[in-house]
Amino acid sequence: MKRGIFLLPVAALAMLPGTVPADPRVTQFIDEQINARLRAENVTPAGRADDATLLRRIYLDLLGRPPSATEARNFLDDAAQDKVHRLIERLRLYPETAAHWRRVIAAWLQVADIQNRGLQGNELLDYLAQAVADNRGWDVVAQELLDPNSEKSGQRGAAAYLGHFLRSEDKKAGREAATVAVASAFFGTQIQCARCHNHPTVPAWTKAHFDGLRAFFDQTEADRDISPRVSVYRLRDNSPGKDAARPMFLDGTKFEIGSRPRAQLARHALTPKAPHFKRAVVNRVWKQFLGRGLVEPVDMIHDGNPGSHPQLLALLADDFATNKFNFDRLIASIMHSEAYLRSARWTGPAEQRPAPELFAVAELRPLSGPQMAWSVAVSTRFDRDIVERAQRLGLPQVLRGISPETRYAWESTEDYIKLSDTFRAGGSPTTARHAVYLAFDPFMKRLLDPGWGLVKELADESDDEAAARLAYLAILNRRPTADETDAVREHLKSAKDRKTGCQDLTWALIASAEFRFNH
Amino acid sequence: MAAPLPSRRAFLGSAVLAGLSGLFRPAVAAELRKNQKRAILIWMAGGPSQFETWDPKPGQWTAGPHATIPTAIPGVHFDEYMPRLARLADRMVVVRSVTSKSQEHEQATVTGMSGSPPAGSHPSWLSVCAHELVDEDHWPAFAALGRPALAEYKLPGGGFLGPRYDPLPCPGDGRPPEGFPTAGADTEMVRRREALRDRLGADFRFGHDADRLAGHDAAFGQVGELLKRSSMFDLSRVPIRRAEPYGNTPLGRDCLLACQMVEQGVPFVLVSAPRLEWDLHTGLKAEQSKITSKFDAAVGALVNDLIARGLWEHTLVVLMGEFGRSPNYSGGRDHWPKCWSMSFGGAGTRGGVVVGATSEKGTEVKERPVTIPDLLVTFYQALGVDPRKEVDVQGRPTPFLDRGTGVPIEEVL
Repeated sequence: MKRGIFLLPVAALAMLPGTVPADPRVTQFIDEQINARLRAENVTPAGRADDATLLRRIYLDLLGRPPSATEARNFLDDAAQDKVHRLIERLRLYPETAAHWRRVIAAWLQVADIQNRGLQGNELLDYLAQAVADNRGWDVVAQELLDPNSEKSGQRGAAAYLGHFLRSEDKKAGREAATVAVASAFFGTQIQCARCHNHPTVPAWTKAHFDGLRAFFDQTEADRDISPRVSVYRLRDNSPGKDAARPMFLDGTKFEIGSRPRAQLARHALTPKAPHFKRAVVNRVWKQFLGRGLVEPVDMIHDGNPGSHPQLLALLADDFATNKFNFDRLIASIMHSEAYLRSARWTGPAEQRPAPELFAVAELRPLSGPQMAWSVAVSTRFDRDIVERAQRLGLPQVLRGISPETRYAWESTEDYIKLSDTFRAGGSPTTARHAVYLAFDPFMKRLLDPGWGLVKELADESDDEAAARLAYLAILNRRPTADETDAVREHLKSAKDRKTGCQDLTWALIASAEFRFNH
Repeated sequence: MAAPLPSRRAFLGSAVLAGLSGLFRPAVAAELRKNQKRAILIWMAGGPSQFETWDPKPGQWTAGPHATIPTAIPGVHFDEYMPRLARLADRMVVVRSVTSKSQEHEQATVTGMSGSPPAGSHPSWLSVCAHELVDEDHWPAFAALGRPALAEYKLPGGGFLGPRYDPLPCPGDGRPPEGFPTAGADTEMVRRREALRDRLGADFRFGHDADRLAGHDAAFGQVGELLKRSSMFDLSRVPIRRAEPYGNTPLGRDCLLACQMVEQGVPFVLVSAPRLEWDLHTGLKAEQSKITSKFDAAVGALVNDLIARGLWEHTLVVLMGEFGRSPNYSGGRDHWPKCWSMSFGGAGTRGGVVVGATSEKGTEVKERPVTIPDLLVTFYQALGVDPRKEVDVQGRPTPFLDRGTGVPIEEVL
């Protein structure tokens, strides 16, 4: 286990500041806009997904893991009408949201692979977790990432973001990479084409824009202090050379060559009025929950590509900005909408399946590497093992869910890294390599060991129907259909012994498409 | 008006029937075409010394402790611990004038395999070949044997071509993917589980995006294909007479496995020397001869085996590391990207050619500097990949190599 996890200011993570309530008017506006286009196109959308599907979807989206069998049973047995909305409100308060969102945000920032770089990567993830736990405004987070004050403990890890790129031996390549990542993550602009020539399809993005944005980073150097206990990047700005380029933001605003260009960038580009930043963040968040952005690709937001619902994007962006770029409020507004809660099943003729940009049917979203790793762990009950080990190590526990520290502890193990890397981020669909992992990897074999965990519980259950119910609840978080119960019963009867039959059953459900996708 | 909907049960029934054929349906594309181009990259992880391999400088102050031997090319000498490669020199190209920039292992490795520094998402050149030269339903087209360096190094794989073109990882020392059965003993289990997976997946097929689901099931079908060919991982069945020349070493076993793989359906293979073993900052005198001898045995046997099996004309073999070693010998040598050597051969490239030269003392490139993109373009041309092709990445035409970089070494093509 890596030492880094002990360095987290634990108290701050254990108590989340109160979440901001969702604004029903924003949710209503989302549905009005989405439904108006559906009416215009004469499309009847899919209905709301069933409770079990929504349970799994909401857990995966907020916590990055599925519910445990107990959590699933409690929810499904709850007779309350509004239990889905209450679940959204409840899970938003779970401390482990920070553990999930730090990786989601790292992927937006184009540093998803940072997880395997040991200490030097984890300090950024620690920073992001803290920022989420504090419910910091996104303008603040962006400002801290672009222009961190390493003397302040709450910002220390932020310098690892630009440091990640600027550490390149090839200084020019490092600065260009930082420019490309910042343009995409913060400003929704895919500017790499303009590195050597004007953008071929977007007249507004010229080489001058690329050079101008890069100029904000031209003076920046990244130093890394490594001591046995901590690794910290520090960013410093050299004084500009004679041939220094003049910084220019994407909107054409030019800045004097001088001191602290990154501070100038943050002051200019992260305000509520500045259009690029708020739209870019809102579009990413929308994609995170709905499977595609209001504008696609998410970093091709420009006048010639207004996206599927321009008014909606504009309103959400303004609402986000005027509410102090509050992430939590934005997320809640989206999650309570009909659009988010729709089923992924299209019951009409396949050839009439509506275009995805109408948001008439939910998308099948492949689980990210971290989501897959946690799903495998929780459904086989390996999470209990993880929690027990964390308790022995004296890591803090929480009342609800799994403590972030416990999650970090497992996430620094070889097993997690390999599993998560195999199903790495970026939403890739299933490949044969994934299938090989699920079929043969020694870690999977350990999880299917009949001596403990879910397989043992199933094998100990003498009633086939009860075993089928438990397997479905633990792995797919729903009740089996009558056909499925029959199939399970037949398989258990025909297996050479019960343990083998229960291993097969557990494997078959984990390897299913239903498990692989957030649906 | 739309046609009346089929009932849900009828739909499920047909889906089950259609799906069951998934795993063990007759092989479609398992066999490679005989003239399929293949490539094996032997990665000399850590950075080999050019002075102790292909560009010795006897009598100069830069010379190390080793002697030199003549090769099949008149007037050209190699290090004394490379007798097999010396004999095969008339079949190989030696480049003595490679020049690059990066002198940090990870960054140089990424650049050496993809042509671009780590910040981008450029694919490995072997992933590009898998993408360009192999039928889409054939898998795996690219495997990586052994770990070139430390576990946390992030090496190029499919990059912007997508994870489909990531290599199938094998742990090294001639072993198959972790947990993969070599002898077919687990086939019954896999078949049983797959049938159950298929049956229990029926309900989910109803109404969900069919393309996504087809891709998921196809991935498991490909595992079935690989299982049918699992005997290629079983080195115990290779006759001793054939296996022995490779040497009783992890690299030797991986080279033998690589030969089996390119012959039996995996056309692109990366073999990595274990744990940066060429990185001899110290202890060169004691260690280098052993490392070079193991390498010479394994690679020499591989080339001979490919020739004997009629694969040499179709298979490019590339021998290189991430950079060379410094001229200053002091019991070891440090990283040196300024001028270094590598070698390749096969796939119709002209043998017996020495490209470029370093200065008398080996401190700098004297003629014909060759860059990493130059090498990659040369490999692409030898294998029939259009090096200037651009693929669509999220609507953006993206070249395999940065535009304007890379000139092929024409004299060897």
